[in-house]
Amino acid sequence: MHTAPRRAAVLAGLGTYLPPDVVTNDMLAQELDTSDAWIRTRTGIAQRHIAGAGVRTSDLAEQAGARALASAGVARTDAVVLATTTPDQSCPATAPQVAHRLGMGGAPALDVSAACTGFVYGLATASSMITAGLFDSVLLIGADTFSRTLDPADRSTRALIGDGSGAVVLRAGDSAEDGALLDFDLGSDGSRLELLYVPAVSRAERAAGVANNYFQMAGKAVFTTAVVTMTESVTRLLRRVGWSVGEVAHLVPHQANARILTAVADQLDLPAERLVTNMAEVGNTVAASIPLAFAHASRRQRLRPGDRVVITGFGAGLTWGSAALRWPKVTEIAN
Amino acid sequence: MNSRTTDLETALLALISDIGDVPTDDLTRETTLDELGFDSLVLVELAMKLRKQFGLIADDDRLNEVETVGELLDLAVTAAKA
Repeated sequence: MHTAPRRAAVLAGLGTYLPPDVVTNDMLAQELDTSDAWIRTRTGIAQRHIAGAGVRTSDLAEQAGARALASAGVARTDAVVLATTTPDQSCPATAPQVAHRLGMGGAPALDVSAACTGFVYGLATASSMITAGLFDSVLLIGADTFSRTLDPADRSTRALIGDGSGAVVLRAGDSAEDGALLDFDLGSDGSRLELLYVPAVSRAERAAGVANNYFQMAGKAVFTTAVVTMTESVTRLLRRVGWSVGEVAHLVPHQANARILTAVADQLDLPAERLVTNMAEVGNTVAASIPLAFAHASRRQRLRPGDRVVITGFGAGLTWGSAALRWPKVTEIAN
Repeated sequence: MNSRTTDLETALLALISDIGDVPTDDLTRETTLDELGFDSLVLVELAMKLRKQFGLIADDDRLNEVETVGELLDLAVTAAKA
């Protein structure tokens, strides 16, 4: 498509942080009826990082945020958006605390809650703030301590989930530049809330043992819906941005489950080697998964400037979203 | 059986043979998915492939009850006629 360059949000910095505590499959097998082989074949995961006692989402977010600012070579941005479903508290949002700790007191800061689609929703929010002319730069952080929501006895979700954070700096630029966010496809379906769900439960109900507020996942239905929804979202996005599947150099999906991602590539007729996956090392880190996957691929020189990249996510809500960009020259900073 | 059904069964047997690493000739209607070493996600993956190749939408509840190759073929044929 040959359209005149327009104002766009451009990816200018990338930072990630993983909490140091690692839980391997063998460690899970010591307390649950599972095994390394069972977990690897069903999820593609070998280990996950877990936030230690007292470590909160804001702590992970602050670390990734500081690294993204350093990666972009800036001390602050005009605004902070934090994608998380595990905020430090139910009120207020966690983003102002993170902005404060990053030395950005006074900057507008808000949380975006879209579970595993959080990073894509956050990217659309931050990008729109820039294209609308409201701000010239935004720090977007995806951070979750979702391991805290898990039933300790549930081998399926315990195997899947890890904690972590990833952040990007977006700056104002134009759509012809590498790093420009070119288009989005976003959606939700609240009628299927129960597929992925952390119920609200009163203290009294929990104390009486009649209810719990652990994360619930309808595994097989989620599998099918995730595959179909991400495939359709990417297909719509490609139509909007005018790219064929063959032109996509890398699909960087939310790291839901390795077999879901393989099935999405199969549905799209995308060669499996164009899928970026880092599930083996980090598991499903909810809103942090896409920037962590960016960092993983960038570190291995898989993402080169100018490469056409599509990201896609699916999660609780249900929510889903995809975005297109050409990879910029950016140096990621990790712990 | 009409030709579409035959195509469907042939394709499904080829997929099962591929995933289970078993020659098509060794598959019978009575072969169980356990014998093929399939875990619970394989059926969902097969359903996704049938959706792509034949536009079939399998009933999740019935898919969960499938235990043999024959039952899987019958479910696919039923979905194709729906």
